[in-house]
Amino acid sequence: MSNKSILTIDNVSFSYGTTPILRNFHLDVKERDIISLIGPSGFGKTTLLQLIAGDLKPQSGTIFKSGLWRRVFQKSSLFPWLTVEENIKLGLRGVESTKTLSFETIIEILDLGRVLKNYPRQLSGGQGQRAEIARALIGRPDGLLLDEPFSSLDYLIRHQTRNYLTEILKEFPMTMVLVTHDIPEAVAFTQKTYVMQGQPACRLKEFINIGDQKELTEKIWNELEMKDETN
Amino acid sequence: MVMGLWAYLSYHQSYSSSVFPYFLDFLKVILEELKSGRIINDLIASTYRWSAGLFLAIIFGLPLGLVIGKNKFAQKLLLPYLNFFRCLSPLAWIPFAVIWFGIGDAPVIFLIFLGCVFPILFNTIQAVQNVPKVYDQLARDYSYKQSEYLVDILLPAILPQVVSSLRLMAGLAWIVLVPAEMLAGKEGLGFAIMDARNGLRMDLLVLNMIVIALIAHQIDILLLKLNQRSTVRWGFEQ
Repeated sequence: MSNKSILTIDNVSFSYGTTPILRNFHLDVKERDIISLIGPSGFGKTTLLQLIAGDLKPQSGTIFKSGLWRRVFQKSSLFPWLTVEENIKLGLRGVESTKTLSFETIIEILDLGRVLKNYPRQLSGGQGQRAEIARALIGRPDGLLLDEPFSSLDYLIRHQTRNYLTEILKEFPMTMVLVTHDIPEAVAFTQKTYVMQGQPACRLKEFINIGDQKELTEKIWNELEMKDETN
Repeated sequence: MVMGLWAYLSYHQSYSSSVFPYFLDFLKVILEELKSGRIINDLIASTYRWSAGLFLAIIFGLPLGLVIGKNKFAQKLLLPYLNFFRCLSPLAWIPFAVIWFGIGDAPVIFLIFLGCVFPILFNTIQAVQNVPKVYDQLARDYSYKQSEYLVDILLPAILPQVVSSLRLMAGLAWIVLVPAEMLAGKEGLGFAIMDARNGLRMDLLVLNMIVIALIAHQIDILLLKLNQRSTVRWGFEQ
């Protein structure tokens, strides 16, 4: 981990019409941080990710991010008219060829060699998600945004896909922001967990993901429950 | 089987030939028409009008559908008017078509255009609105220019629905073509039907009806195959 900020969300507020979602929200992410954002449904996790990605504009405050950022979506976003190979190579768009990961390496790590010529509809859920990850990572981004990327997968495939991603992050370190409502996943997969608190979300409670995972999961869970009670 | 029954009934003269032609007369008229070349000329004239009307409907309706589908302001501004005109039968325009364009190709093409432009337009609008939002997010993430977005994302994404509406339009165009040619044509299969009726040539009338049905059916089969191909590949069907 370095001390250089790669993503700063400074005093950001956002509402959908008259419904406030985020109020004076702040988050600072350093280079090569691997963090997760936890919160119950409807607490603005996906909205926050869309703000970071630039799909939405904050009504006040600023968002600063540096370098190349890619994201992996909750639902399948592979183009059905392109093969897996063509879909993955889209990730090379707008990236200098000297900076990218080698296509062969990423295919090997994610075990996609056998399905390169297939169309997305011919893939299993796990293969589809790995192809999405491959497309996001092939351009060797500085930051990766993950919006509940494993939520549609069953337990075993989810575990396996997470392991593939962990392997890549070990080999090619980068910053990662994972949005999820799955606490054990956040604890097992990331270095820090931030629980979004307040309604509208205005603060974060930070947990360092070391030590007993079960205990930590319980602590975070209590924090979520406490928040539900106070609101 | 139908042909056999027809041949049997007409051989025994079980009905009057003024009600429905005899089978033998029908066979004779096929040869006559092929020999004189009239049916071929009519077929060429009708197919030309059919394709021209359809082509104009596509080149006008598809881009307009893309613009309206993507633009909320254009939807507010244009949809009420387009919906108003969509509800009018294209055949109601026949008097105007004749006054504006006279008799011949132009009024028939104009009427086919009117019959087909609304299905392609409204299907395209709906298809554009159904394109997953995530494709727009991807386009932004991967720095697609507007022209690249149009060619590489939007058009392939709406293609299955456009091909579907093309099949609908192709059938509709034949339905509009026949009455349009009856009233505003001086040749073509629709005109030939009217001409046969005026001359009490039931054999000729049936021949022209069969030719229209055969051509329309073959085109429909072709478009269905195309539709199935794109639909399967795009993942809407397994």
